[in-house]
Amino acid sequence: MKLVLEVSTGEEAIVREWEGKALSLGRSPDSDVQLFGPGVAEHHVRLFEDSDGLRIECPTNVSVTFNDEIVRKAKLEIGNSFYIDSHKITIRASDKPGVIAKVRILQYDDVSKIPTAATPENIAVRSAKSNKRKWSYGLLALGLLISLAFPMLSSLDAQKKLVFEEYGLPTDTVWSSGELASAHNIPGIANECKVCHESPFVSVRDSVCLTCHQELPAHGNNDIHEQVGEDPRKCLSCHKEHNEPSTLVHTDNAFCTDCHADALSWADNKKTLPPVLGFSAKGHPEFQLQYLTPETNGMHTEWVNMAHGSSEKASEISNLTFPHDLHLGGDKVQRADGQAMECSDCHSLDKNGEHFNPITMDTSCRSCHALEFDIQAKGRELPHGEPELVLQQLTEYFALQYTDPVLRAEREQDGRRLPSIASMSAVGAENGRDGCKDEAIECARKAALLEAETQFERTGCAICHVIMKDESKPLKDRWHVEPIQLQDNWYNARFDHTVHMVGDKKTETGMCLTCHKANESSVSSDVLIPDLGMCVQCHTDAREAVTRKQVSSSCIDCHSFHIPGKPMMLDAYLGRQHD
Amino acid sequence: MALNKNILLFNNSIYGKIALGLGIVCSAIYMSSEAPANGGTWQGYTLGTIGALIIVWLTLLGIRKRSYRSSMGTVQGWTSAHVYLGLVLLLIGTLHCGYQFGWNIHTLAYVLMVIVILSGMYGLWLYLMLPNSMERNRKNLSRENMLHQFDHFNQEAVIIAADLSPDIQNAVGSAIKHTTLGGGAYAQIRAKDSSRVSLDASQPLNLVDNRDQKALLSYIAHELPKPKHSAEQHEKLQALLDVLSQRKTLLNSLRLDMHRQTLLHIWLVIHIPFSIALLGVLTAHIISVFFYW
Repeated sequence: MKLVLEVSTGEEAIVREWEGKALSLGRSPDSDVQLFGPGVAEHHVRLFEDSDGLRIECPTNVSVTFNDEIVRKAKLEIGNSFYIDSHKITIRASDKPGVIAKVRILQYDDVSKIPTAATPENIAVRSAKSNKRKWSYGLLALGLLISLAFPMLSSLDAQKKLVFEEYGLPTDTVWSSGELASAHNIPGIANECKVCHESPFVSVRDSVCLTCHQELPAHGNNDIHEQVGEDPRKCLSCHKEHNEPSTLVHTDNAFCTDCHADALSWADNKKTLPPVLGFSAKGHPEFQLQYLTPETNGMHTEWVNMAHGSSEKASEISNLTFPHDLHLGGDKVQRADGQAMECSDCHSLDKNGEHFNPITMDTSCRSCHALEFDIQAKGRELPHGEPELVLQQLTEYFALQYTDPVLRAEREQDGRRLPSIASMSAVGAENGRDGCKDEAIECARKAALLEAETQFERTGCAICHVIMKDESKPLKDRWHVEPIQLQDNWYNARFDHTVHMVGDKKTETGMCLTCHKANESSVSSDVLIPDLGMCVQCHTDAREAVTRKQVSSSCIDCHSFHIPGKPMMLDAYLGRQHD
Repeated sequence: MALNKNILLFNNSIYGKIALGLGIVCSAIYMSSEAPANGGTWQGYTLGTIGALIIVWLTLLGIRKRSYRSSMGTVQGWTSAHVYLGLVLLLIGTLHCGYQFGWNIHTLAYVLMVIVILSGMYGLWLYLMLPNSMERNRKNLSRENMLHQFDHFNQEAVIIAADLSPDIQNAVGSAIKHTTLGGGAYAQIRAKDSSRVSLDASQPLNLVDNRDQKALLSYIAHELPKPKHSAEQHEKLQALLDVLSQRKTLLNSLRLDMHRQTLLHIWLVIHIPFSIALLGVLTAHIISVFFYW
């Protein structure tokens, strides 16, 4: 058998003639044509001629690829090819005499079969572009699913929400922008968005808030917003939920000064409010104090709270005579222990630290100002607060003095050493000592009247009280003690005394006197409430606080929007609904 | 103008100045709030609107850079502005949320934004640092050229080896077949050379480490002085060694180039999908805020 062999590497070929019984191909150096590669056996295939023509045959366990089939044996014709690993062997016709065929052995019939860096699977990054697109769409879909689709479905369908919650899928709670204020972070509200957010794209309505907050007082006497001529504002414009830190209650001044930066007046209650910008000397008007003021309406006198600016600081009409300066300092008045009086001997703070417990005769005055009238009868006092009984009790007292011989004897005995009670002495003085020669009851009446005059007009009652005397009236109504009217709340605003008990003064009274100049006040009509200037020595509004190194104070530190005593918010809301 | 040097300095850093100004204005808006900072105040809505518009505009770079016919500014200008506005967005977004974070989609949007910005900062750093050294490494060849040359070296080595002993043919063929290069994105970044070779023709599956082609080159080099080779074979061996050495050098350059090139791509695999996801979550953020107003 004679063949022409063409061994090609794809770029150059070696052509030679070969003669023999069988052409052997394989990795072995003994092969007629040596091939290399891990897929090539040492003796891979033999090509030989029999009566039918050319045939190939492989040893056991070795095969070639022929017509896309893996075979060990095959019959070949001119034009056939088979593969050993990546080597292609082609049988071609030969025009040379005596030569059966031309065998073309292409080592790496395709150059790309040589492992190269350019094979696509090695350069994965070249397809990164499509990866990015895939990831983009994937993440976009995932993001929309989590943040929009699931929450939206759970919002629109309560049943779905339950299912989602069961399977741990996101519900509309992932839309919550922050924790609710603790008062609202309760079952039934916390995870139930729609309790408050009733309708999509509509902000929370006042009716939702007022469902629970029915008793909340309003800001003014009527719907404040109607008065200001503004679109009805909402609870929401001040109370913001889901904020951290919680801003459920506004602490900034803006929500007050939005309206109060300009002077406000209301025609219906004849009230004018000066402009307010913040708590500073310039930004805040002088305090308006409330005075209890008598308003006489024909026969009837009514005490009403009237507000006055401090520029027109009026005298207080309290019907009380009380010189603070006399009681302080210890020069003229001392306590039982000999020490100077402290403010707190009379003024005791109530629980909220803002106001003081009412001052009464019993708690504050009686220990010094007991209503004794007879120096020989210690502990015998006139009834406080019941002037109409004074004359009667005195009469009874003196009747006994004039009729009881034992008492008379005692009195006469003591009389030598002590001055006798003046009113008794005065009765029938023209007759000398013990001059009353009338009947005892007449003497008693005369003495009682004299003593009553003394107590009502000179000592006793008159020390502290304003007494009106009407000679035309019957005896028992002759003296009228004007009722004490002490103002217990000078401001609508809040003030906490406890946190203000500070200062360089060592004593408690010293701290009080820092603001309340009681030691300089000799009449009780002095108003000892400090003015704005006193406050702004330490306080100012947030804007100036840092630069001026002062305490930052906002409107609601002292003022409330919902003013106790005003009509209910709910009423104002319902009124608005009806308009 | 080389893009890699001047993207920050484009037009005298005009967009840097604009972004700085914007940052100052936004900070002033933030500080004007007396109430605690919050996305729901007028300051919050303002900052949020500015931030959302910037995000949408930043993503438009992907469209603008493909619009070769567009005359709406240069791509360089857009990219410069993209970088600066992206940086200031981190400030604006943070001011908008008022440092309030939680397990909700609003914080999810913020986190996505931060991921996009941080990956963008990394990408910017790569673009400032890598291209020069990549250029030096490539020695004025494109990746295509280098791969082409690599294939050429492979073929040349095979052809030369074809005339040499089967052991050498086997070694060359095996080394070529078992040379690793590239692979997936991770492999390209890792650039680990796990090439192997069979140095025994009778045991083609007995592969040994051929890192840096050291085993192959050493094998050929040791074959060189052996007396069994004829003068012609010796010459071929010399030529083979020469080709394989060049191949090795090229291989190292290719590996380094792939490593860097992939880094330049891979940050975008974070940057772009997350920015697209951000657009979705941002939409949900805006809708949800007004849905539950």
